[in-house]
Amino acid sequence: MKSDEGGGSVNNNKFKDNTFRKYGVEVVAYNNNNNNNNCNNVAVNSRGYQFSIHPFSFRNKLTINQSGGGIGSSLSSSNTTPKPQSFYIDDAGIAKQLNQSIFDILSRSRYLSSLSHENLAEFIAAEPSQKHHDQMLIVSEDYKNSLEKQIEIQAKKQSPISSNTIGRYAYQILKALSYLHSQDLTHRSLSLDNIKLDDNNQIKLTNYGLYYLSDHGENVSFPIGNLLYLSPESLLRGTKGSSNTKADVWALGCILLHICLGYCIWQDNNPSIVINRILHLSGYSTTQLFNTTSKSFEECELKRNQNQKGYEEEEEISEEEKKRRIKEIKLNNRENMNNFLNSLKENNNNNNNNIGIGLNGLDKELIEIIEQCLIPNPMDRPDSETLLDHPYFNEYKKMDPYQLQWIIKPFTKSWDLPDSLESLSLKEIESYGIGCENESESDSDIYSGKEIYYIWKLLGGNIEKELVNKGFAKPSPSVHKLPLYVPVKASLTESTSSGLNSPQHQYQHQHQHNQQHPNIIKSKNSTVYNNEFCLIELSIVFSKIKESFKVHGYKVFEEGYESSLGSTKFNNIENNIELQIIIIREFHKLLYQYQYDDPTLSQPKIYRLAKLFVPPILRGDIWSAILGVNEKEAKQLYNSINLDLKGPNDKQFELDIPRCHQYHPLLSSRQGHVQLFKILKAWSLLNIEKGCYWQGLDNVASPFLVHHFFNEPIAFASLKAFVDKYLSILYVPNNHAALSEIMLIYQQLLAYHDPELLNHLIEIQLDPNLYSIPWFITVFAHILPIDKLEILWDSILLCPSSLPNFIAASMIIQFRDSILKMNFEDGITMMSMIPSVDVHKCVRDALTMFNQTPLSTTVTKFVSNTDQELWWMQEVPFEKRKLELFPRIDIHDLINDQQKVIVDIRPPLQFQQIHYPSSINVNPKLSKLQQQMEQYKGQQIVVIAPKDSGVEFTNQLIQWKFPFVSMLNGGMDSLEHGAYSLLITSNKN
Amino acid sequence: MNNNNKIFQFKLVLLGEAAVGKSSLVLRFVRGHFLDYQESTIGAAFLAQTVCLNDTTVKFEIWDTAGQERYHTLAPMYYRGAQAAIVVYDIRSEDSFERAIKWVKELQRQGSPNIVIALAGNKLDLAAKRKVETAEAQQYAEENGLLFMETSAKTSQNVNELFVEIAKKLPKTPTTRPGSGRGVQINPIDNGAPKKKCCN
Repeated sequence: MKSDEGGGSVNNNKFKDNTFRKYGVEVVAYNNNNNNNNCNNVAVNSRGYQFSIHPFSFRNKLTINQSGGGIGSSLSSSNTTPKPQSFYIDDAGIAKQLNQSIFDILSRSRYLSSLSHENLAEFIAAEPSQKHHDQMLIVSEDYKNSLEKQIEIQAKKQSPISSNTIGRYAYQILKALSYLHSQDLTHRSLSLDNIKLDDNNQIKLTNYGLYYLSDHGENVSFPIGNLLYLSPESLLRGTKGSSNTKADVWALGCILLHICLGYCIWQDNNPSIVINRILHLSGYSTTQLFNTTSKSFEECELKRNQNQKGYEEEEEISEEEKKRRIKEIKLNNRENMNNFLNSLKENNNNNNNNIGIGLNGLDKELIEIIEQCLIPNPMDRPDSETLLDHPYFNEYKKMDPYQLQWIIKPFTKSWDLPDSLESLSLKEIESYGIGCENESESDSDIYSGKEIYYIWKLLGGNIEKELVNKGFAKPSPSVHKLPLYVPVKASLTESTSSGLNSPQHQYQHQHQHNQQHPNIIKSKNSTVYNNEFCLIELSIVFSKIKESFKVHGYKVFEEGYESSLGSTKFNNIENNIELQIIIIREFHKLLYQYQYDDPTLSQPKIYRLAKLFVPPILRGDIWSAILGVNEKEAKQLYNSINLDLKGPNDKQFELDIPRCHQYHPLLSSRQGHVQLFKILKAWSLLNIEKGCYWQGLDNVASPFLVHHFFNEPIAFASLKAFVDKYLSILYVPNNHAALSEIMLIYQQLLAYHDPELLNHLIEIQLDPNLYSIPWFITVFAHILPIDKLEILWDSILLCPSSLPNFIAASMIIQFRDSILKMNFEDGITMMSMIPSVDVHKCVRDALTMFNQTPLSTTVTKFVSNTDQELWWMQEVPFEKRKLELFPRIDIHDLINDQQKVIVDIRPPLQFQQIHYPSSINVNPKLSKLQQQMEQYKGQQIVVIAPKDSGVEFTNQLIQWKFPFVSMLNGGMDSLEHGAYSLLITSNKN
Repeated sequence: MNNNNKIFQFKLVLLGEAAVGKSSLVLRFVRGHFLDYQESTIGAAFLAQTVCLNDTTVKFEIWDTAGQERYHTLAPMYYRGAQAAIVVYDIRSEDSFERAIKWVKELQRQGSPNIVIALAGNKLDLAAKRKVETAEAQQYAEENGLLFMETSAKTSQNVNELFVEIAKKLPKTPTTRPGSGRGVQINPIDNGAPKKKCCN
């Protein structure tokens, strides 16, 4: 790039080909001294990375019934087109029960946080304020320096920003804008103070999300956008939808002009004058005129219209008037604007300030671009993409490391390329095909803003506290947040203004306002948009990252780390921030490999690492990797399904989705409903032949949607993989047999681990099919809230598909002490308490049980076998199996574990002929059987019985509350068949 | 409450199309609350509640079933042995009314003999969007000897009344009926169970 103040110093090495994240905070670790696992030198390349918190008040949208419409209609004066059944109200406690606005804002925020562009500051999160229920806090990547400050700095140095730099700014802003516009987003409030510069002097746009987040200004009571840069069409139309992407182009033109002149030429303290000036330039006759000789705006008398309307009153123009005006602007010519710009160009040497280079100092082509941006009619104004194609930018493109350059060299292995080529940098593409370059001694990673935020919170960061500490949280009575309010009595207002916040007062207000009461107070808080951002320094995070790289080195998860799994090093990871930082880094590497490299290599590693810890911030990606979801394939599959077709379950979806996990902000939002519908529909269309939708699949799909909000293909593919692995036998038209089998296994597991509880359940006739169907058909998604469910699923996904059975058992055992005292009725009511289960304990117990239980207990042993000899391999009628309280195990489990007490209940004669070593021969008919068996209580007991008998005896043990009782499937016959050499026969003696 | 007060226990089952408000009706009756977004029922849910009549207490063991057609195969498990059933439809949906009629037929065919069936047109609070006329349902109910009421779980209109009517209609004779799954006795139980609701 042409010599430029640091702007061109883009470090080409910054793009690594093995990073999961593209933009964020880069960490590089060098290892100078061989052999040592620890890193000697760690650099955090933050480029001035900070967070900003932006609190803004939103208004709740309250829908009420016609019958109560009397209150609603009276408040709609600020709303030019009142809808018959709804009204808007600034939440002063009235609309508390309906949080639709919050939910919609939160769901939209997930879209913003999915954006990623080199010239956009990352949108990190939107969180509802805990203190003010009508306030939302936006957390975003941010920088200290902005164009506004840059102009000041340069002005102080008496060296205005050069044409070349302005060009580069224009190029980078346009890149960001055209990316936003391609995502159907309008910035609307582009201004000098939210065009930030990082330490490398690269453009980062901030605050681009508010317009979208607030539903084009619907959910906020302040106008969005900087008046100086508002396009004429935005000024003329009402609030909602007044700006489209073309408005951003206008704003860019204004901003470039501002930088170049050093000030905004139509600025004035009076907003109505500013509006009139802008409208004048747009060819609209107003009280302001631009005098081409004096180069300034002048007051003039209005020729045609009585348009002495201020900005505040702008909204009150009638609908017809507005339409007329919009029509008018279309008819108007560009004369005024052209005269204005031409006179600025002629303004040769008059420019004696040093704050801007003036239009003459600007490249001709750049002036042309500004002129195009400032075309008053949005229909004629070019869009951002067209402007970006302007030949002027070619040079910048060539130097742009982010710019994709095709045909650098022929690729032979196109399948090596990741799917999203657009986002790849030149360097990344080059590195493909070359293969791994030797970066042996350095290691780098990029942490996204969301991860930095996560770490910051782990370190005790709290956005609300920051706001208080920095003086941003100004308490004010809620009533002041209403756009208009009226004191009940004048004396009250005089004495105390905070005493007005009472429902009665609001009631008064509504009625009085309806009568156009003269003493209406226009609240400042609600109409003036608070554009203050609270910046947060992140050095604490960066030093923690450095520290953790130094402590743990970057090879901590190389071969053999599992051996140290048991060591204290990996204990208590939830609170070990350093280790989490390293684990996140490791996951980045593995997940990248998984998506773009060899999944078969990385998947087992992801598995192992996830057993150690699943960072919540990466949970969705980790889950889909474990489930074997490939981004590219998922997209292909999802896009191949025609969702326009009428599906067999559409009606059912519409009934179920609005009831599914509605406490969750994302799932209860309109976006959430739409996306869940599409995912479920895609699943049901894909499985139209064999599978079928059962109520409950909506619950199963929910966690995936939450993790992949606005990414339906991945959510869908994850759901599909999950159902295939855990639920394929249940989501079919007739699942009765499968469900019964699962419940039987669960019951037998319960008998194995807690015979007392099982006996009691049988006694009070609390059959599993009365309560446990929703557990198994949704893998607990129906009964647990999402946050608890995630903990369970972390383990379930990493374990064999029998784990849900153990979870179910450990869940009910958690409540055993209460259930044991209960009758049927209380017991079944107790089942509704299951959501209060301690999931961490439940998982721990389930895993312990899993490890103590012979594998074969949960595996269906009965494969259809025609060989009559192997009678134990034949399928046993379910009715018969149902009588068995105990699980059956196969000979492998008997042989592999020597710790068992083997009870052989065949007649003594047969026992003498052949028996398993150290087995005990017991006569099941013995009168003092219970006393005799008592000594083995608590040990694993395996019963070897003659064919077709022993059920009664083994059940008896369970009724005597013997735990760990099982029966050897096939008895002695299967031992003779499969392990004859181990047996002790009378012949051998 | 005199000491001669007798408690009768009955099994009651709720049937009807998905999302007509079966669970909401039960929750309104048993717990007295209403959720705008009642999670769909999978399999079935069990709840119990008592109703006091003049000299007797009727205890309902309520089985609230899943509405989705697919779960139909499970339904017999719950209505078998039930002495009372509430078949619910949504007054805004013709389809749900037709489904209700099918349920009634199935109960008359396969349910316990002398089962008391009530037809409930729910979501009366949304009467503005009514599709099923009261007269139509009323007539059907009369022809088939059903109790009929239009209810609103949201406003609780007619909810208790419905259960009270059923309680009145149930025969209070000490007989034992065949039950399956969970044994159901309707013999009077002498100990005084907690009485949560009293209506006269």
